[in-house]
Amino acid sequence: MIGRNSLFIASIVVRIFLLVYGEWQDRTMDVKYTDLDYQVYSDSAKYVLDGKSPYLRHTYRYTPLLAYILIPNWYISFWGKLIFIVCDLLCGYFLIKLLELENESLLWSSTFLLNPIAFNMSTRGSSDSLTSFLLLSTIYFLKKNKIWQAGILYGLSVHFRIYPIIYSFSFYIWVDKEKSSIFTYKRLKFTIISGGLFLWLIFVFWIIYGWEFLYETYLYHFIRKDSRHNFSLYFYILYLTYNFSAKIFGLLAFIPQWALIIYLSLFMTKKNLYSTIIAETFIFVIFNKVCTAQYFIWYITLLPIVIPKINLSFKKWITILLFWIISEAHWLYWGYHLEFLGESVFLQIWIASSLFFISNLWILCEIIKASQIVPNKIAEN
Amino acid sequence: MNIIVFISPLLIITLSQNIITFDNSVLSFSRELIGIGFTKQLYTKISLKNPSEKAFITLIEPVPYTWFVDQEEVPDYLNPKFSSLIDIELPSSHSTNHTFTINLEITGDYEFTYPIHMRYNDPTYDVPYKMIKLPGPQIKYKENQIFTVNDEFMAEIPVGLTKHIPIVVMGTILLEIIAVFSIILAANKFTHHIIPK
Repeated sequence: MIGRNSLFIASIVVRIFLLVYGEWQDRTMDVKYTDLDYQVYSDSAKYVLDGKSPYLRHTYRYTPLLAYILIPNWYISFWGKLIFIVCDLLCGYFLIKLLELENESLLWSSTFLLNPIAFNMSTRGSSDSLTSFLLLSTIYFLKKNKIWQAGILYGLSVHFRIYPIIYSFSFYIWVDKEKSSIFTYKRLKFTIISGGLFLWLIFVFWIIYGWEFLYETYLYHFIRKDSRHNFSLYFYILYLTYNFSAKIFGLLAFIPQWALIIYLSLFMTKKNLYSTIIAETFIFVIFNKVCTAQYFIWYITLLPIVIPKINLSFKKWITILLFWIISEAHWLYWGYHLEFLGESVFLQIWIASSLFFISNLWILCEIIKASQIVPNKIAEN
Repeated sequence: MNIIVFISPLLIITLSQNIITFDNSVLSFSRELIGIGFTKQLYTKISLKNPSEKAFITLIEPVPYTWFVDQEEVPDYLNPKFSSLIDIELPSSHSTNHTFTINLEITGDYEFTYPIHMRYNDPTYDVPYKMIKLPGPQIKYKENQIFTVNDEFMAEIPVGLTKHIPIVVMGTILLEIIAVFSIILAANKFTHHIIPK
């Protein structure tokens, strides 16, 4: 049986190996290992180092905090990757702590710690592990009934990437799940701490960087109309109607997305928090008007704590995995023909996006239906 | 109509122009557009006729609204200067023409490459490819002479078809409705589980 230490050592070794390999590939090959976004973060950090706004870097759409953290990149090029790797390992740590709380096998954490998608993303310099770490630690402290810590971490996670706001209803309900009253002391405390920190950070950075900060970090994600091909069911419709009615179709994605997230928060949270948040993540991703491979890490991070609470056979899990991989590979096949071979295969990509949507929908429904009702268990302070 | 759709890619391949050249008494210029997807490479070679001469050359590069150059991808050793920010995410219908300069001090032959990208162009009703042009640059030689490369590249770009709108709209809405009901039904099944004591 692999122990916790062996699992962590294996996770560290594979990440350090890929970090070194990535540096080597970047220096020797035309095709770079490092994610393009990493260069964006680094360039923004350089602007900050020069006393300028990180938003001078075109396509930098993150909090200035990220640029601040990565300032040492200009002295140690892989500094940021090290930070993201540490966050990756902290995700593993909190997954293990959560599994311990539920008396589940710690080995489930290997579905994240030794997941190629997870270690590939952090070693390529994607910052998602930072948000994942903040989110998992929020869940842990919520489970431990530590409202202050949970509130601060949740406020930070929404500040870093706006998407964890989708869990706000579920967290709000979970904080005092024994109570039926909408407004309770603990709920208000959690809301004031997390919301207060979030708003305070917005205020501080708005004072420093002005409108540019608000627009690039948050508003852009709401008004974004990306007409380029992506996994979203809506990409082709948005492209074809870009010049006349794309806003209507944007709403077509937004309304069911948020209606379902609120519906699940209200009816599922108290019975199984983990299944609810992974379901919300699925809904957010598949109903989003833009969907890229980067989004998949959001639910992969949650899988280790969700899987033990779902009554599905091993065979069913394998079928789910195969369905997901095949539908994604099918999309990538057509994406390659359009992007790299310049073939006009927009309809085929839309069909592939539809099949990917259906496969994700089926997986989501299976997860919801097979979720266990988890007895209320809040650890003592 | 179907025959036109079928042969249009063949016509485009025939019409595509991937190399442009310019030649006069002081320099020769050749440029090749390499690649078949949305991202292409512009390979350029400039040769001074007098091999012992050292000259300042500025290339004034036009970037039509149908294309974009990501200023972060142009190598620093070309000393690029962008007169305005090029938004790399807009489709052609919302973009404008841009220019930037490449500033070089060269002796003899000089070669370089930088990437250029085709923007998503407006869909057509039923022709799956469009031809888009990329003009050659103006070459400023020793501050006082300007030569214009009159050749231009012709490249084909795949575009979406508006005749697909009915099927895509209906298909998307239908899938959305099925999805919403499936999720509500699944959640309903879950919430009616009996809580274990």
